[in-house]
Amino acid sequence: MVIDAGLQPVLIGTTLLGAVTGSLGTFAVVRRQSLLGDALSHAALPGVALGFFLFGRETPFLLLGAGGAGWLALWAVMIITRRGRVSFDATLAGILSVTFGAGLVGLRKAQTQPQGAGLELYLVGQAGTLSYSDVSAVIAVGLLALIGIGLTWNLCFSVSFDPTFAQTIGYRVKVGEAILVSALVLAVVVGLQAVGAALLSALLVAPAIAARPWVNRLIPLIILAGLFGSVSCALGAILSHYLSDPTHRLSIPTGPTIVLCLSALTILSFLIHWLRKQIWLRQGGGT
Amino acid sequence: MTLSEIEMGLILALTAASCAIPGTVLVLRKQAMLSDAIGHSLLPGVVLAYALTANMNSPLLLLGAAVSGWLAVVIVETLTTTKVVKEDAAIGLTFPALFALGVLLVTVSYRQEHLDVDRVLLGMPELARYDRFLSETRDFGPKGLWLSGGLFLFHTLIFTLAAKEIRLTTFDPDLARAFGYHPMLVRQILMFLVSLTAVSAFNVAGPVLVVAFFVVPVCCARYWTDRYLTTFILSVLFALLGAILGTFFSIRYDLPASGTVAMTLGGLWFLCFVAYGLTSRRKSR
Repeated sequence: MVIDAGLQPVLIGTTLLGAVTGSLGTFAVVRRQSLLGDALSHAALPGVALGFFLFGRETPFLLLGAGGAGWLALWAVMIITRRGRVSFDATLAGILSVTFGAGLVGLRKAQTQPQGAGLELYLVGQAGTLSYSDVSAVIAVGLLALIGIGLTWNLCFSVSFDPTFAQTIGYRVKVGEAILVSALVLAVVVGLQAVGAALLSALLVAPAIAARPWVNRLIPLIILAGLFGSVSCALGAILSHYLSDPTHRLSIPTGPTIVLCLSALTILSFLIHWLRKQIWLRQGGGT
Repeated sequence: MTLSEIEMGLILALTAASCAIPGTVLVLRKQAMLSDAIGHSLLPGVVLAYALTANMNSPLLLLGAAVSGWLAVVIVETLTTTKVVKEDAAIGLTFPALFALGVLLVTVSYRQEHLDVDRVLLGMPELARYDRFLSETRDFGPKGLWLSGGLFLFHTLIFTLAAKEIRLTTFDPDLARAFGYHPMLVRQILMFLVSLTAVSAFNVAGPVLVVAFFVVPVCCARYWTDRYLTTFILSVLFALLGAILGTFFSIRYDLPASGTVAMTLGGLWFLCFVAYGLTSRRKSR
């Protein structure tokens, strides 16, 4: 297949991005914190606006702001739930919507500035406009997170599955949680560019869920989730590129296409697994 | 303040108040994140129903979109109860899929009309007042005002009449079942009501900010009372206060109204949190 020159960085970028978010999101799914990623992605928006106002339009600054805001939001969720009275889910929903509101206000203000045009794409993503510098940002951030987790693998592993056990054998659970959560923040920062705040949680959650029926160990799960993530991101990028038709002013946005590809993949994965199980039972398996 | 600004403030205040009532039950049931899922999942329903009715305020659109929001809850519940995935992952899977579908539908079907994704995502209370309820001779005010006001009265009525059922199934579903109530039925009706409320707020707040209307006033109220009825009343009061203050700020500093109201509600929450921290520390000494 011949690939358009304009599509090339988009394709490479989304593929890597899917791998990064899919593999890092696995930890969130395993730790039953899928919705934390959703809250983080909304909380990153005011950070994008703030990064713009403080430093300027360059992507690294915006992402820095996004990461910082994500961290702050996590900290707020922790403080509020520790005080009691308001449960975790309500805190999450509250912080998510308030930060999103702040992000909207900030981005709207930014658009009135001469350089601020296009920032609103952080809402729904701009995967179709990824450039090679964005690709290198994805690689850098993704490597940082994966190496960080890799170096502290035993800690992260035990904290994910059995924090009490990790505590007993003398691991610092807080540190492990901090590393995992930071990895999630990094994944969000990377994914924000491509699919935007509203759809990001799919990129984190769906690959791991789709991979779950096929593997029972964490490392294969992470690898398979990364693979699923990159495959559906690439597929989404290609589909949206070739289905768009400029002559009819039809432009299919990449982010939603990617998310729909991911959902289709997840459904397919479960369907195939279910069918295999039925066939196995029909053949008298398990007796 | 001009008449148009007062009208916008009233629409926002009544919308926030009508969200706070079902929002209280959502928060007390620890299902606040479902409002996020419902808000997002409305979009395909709104777009499809709009394609059929071509009128943002037709009752058919309200019902159709409410059904699509409620369907999202059903999908989440099915995924959870069949143990395919855990609840958090089920929510995280369902709503982005439906939302993505909605965004695609918007971009494909309204590409000639410049219907911004921006606008769909954020809601535009600034425009809500232009859709007016006109008879031959008189102007009865914006439709959004009638809608949110009516919904507020409707919720007050329902949540008063069914207070016993809702309260018992919220706090002790097993006891409720033993008494012959139907916790599942109550739950489904509640979810439909939440969905209906979210649709009515869609024009004003969009799919994400409606979560702030549902959840944040209740978060504020939780610091001041442990009583069921008082929580409702305080939530509504906080919602009204946040909406009115937010409208004021948005006009004063020329900011988008829906986002500013959400921020103001967040500010109220912060103040309540700090005040609670100070008072409870003094008590414990």
